[in-house]
Amino acid sequence: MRAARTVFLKEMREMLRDRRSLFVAFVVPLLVMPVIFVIVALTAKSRERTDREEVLPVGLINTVAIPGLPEAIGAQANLAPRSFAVREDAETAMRDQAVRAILIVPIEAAGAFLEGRAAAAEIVYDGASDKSRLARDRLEKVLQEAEKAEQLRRLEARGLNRSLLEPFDLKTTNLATPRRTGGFVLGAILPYFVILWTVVGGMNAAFDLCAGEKERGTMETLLVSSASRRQIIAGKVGAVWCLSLASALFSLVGLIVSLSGTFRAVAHIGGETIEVSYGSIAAALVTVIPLGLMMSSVLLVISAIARNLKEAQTYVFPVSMSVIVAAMLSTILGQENTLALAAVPVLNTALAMKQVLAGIFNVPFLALSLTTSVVYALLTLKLAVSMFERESVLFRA
Amino acid sequence: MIEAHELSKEFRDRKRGLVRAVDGVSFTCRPGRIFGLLGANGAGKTTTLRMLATLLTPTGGRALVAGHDVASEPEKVRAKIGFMSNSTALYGRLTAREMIEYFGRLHGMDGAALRARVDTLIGELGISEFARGRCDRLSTGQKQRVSIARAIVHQPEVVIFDEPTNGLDVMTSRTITGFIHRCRAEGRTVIFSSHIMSEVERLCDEIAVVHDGRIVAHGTMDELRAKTGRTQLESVFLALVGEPEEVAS
Ligand SMILES: Nc1ncnc2c1ncn2[C@@H]1O[C@H](COP(=O)(O)OP(=O)(O)OP(=O)(O)O)[C@@H](O)[C@H]1O
Ligand SMILES: [Mg+2]
Repeated sequence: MRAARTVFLKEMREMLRDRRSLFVAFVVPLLVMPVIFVIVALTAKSRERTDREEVLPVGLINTVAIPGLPEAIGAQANLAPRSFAVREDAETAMRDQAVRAILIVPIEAAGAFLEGRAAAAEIVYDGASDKSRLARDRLEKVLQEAEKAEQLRRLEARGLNRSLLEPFDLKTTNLATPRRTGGFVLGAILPYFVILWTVVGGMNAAFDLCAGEKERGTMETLLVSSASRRQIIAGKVGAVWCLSLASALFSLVGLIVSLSGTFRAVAHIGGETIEVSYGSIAAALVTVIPLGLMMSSVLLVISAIARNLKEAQTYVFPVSMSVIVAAMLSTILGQENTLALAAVPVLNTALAMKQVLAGIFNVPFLALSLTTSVVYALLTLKLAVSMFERESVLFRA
Repeated sequence: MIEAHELSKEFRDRKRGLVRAVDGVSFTCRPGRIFGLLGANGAGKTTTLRMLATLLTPTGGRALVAGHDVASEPEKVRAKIGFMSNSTALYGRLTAREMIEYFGRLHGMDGAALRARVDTLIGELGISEFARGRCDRLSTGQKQRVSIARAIVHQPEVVIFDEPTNGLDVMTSRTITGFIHRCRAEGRTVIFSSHIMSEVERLCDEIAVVHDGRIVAHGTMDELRAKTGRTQLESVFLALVGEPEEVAS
């Protein structure tokens, strides 16, 4: 194993001297991710504010027929009402975007309303326009409020209690500690990014270590040394594995820093306080270790088969697509899954990470997913070794 | 010592089908002598030398290098050989010194012994000025010296060179030929390939002319001259490979 160690140390040294590789493996996950997150969060926040505050013009037809309705609409600071006599005029105004939605109360509605029956009302909007949808929502809300007020009034007129309509007085209690809520929120996105970086972080290095060596003509120099093929590939896998895990760790740090930053910025999300548990984050990182070995081996298999860097980049495409899909699936699937999913490579790690972060310890699932990950890692490592021992792979004409 | 018996290599090529790159070559290279493989492009020189260096496995015949079989004991063979070719480049991001040290370590050397050996090589080959420079910033001649040091850091019994002077200027070529002579003086077995007849004549104690994967003639330069009845190097070669000589018009 001494030669493997020598190869490992030399590859690490060379990688640490390669600015491009370092940039992709460390700087991007540590800095770029947080920046993206902050930008997204701030954009979402400012968007939310404009959504709340932007004044939208709405057309009203005959709303005066319902007592209290014009006042209720007028009380909305973010609605600018404009009255129309006929529907055609209002619709023309909407087409010219002079109004964003129209609320129409038919003539006969007034009578029905006063007699205690259901009064017809119509909201006209443009489903293909954001602002029109927003105006519709605001009008709907006003109507719902008015409906509630009218309900109460009608019940009281008959001497009845509100509970007639609302037989349950429902209250929900959240048992999750802020820490577990934090784990839940992290579990939703963190596995995706960490897994992505486990692959992306080692990719450059893996391609450099075989395909790149072939391209630059150092492969033959290395192969003619007395180190065995097995030792050489062991050293190379080790180096890529190291880099991919380091990159996963960096992405985790970057994510947590940016998430805690953005959560503070958007603190009112669901009104829940969240905390981050460093223990579960460390446990989540452990689940990536076998995945890192598997991906390093797979990348080195590709790198060994490829004649040059360009070929390696072409061959890796289906692999990275599958990893992205598997990692994305984990964001859709819940935390509690059938045991079968623990056998799906990549996805099993993502789901295990999600569980660990949320503080759910489904022992059979975790044990199976860890076992299968280790088995896959060893199988792909074996494949990498056997590829590297084949002369037809290393000396392709 | 190198002993090749009926050594053959077939490649399965997608376009050309089965290619017999080397077709039953037998020869012996003795310690303290320089053996030359002379042949045109595609004759099978590189393939032969790569088999001796265990980079390729023979598909037929066998070869013993320093007493070990290339097919069954490749690692033992590699511990005894120094191999250099056009496609044995240096690691660009390592310094010259690190490069030599790395290969010493891969050959199992370590500690003070390794350091002493690297120091000696750096001194002898005139590398000291650029020993701390990264290999990708060295000139071709400087790279060549580092390559030599890399190839012999473990004091190999057998030295294998594939077209070592190809594409080099006269001065750099002289470094190489000087080095080849020194290896002979130190009692090493030297085999090298070339397509330059004058170089082969100047350096070699024994010559094998390779054509289409076969050895078509074998002996000293004088023996080859006697065999063909010609004196001019080029015509000796053309006669041996069976090409009709063009008549100058
Ligand atoms: N990996 C390979 N796959 C298929 N054919 C190959 C392979 N390597 C070499 N060949 C073929 O084997 C034959 C001998 O090639 P080789 O490189 O040994 O010749 P050479 O004498 O070194 O030539 P040169 O002077 O051009 O270096 C050529 O026809 C070549 O195309
Ligand atoms: Mg050649």
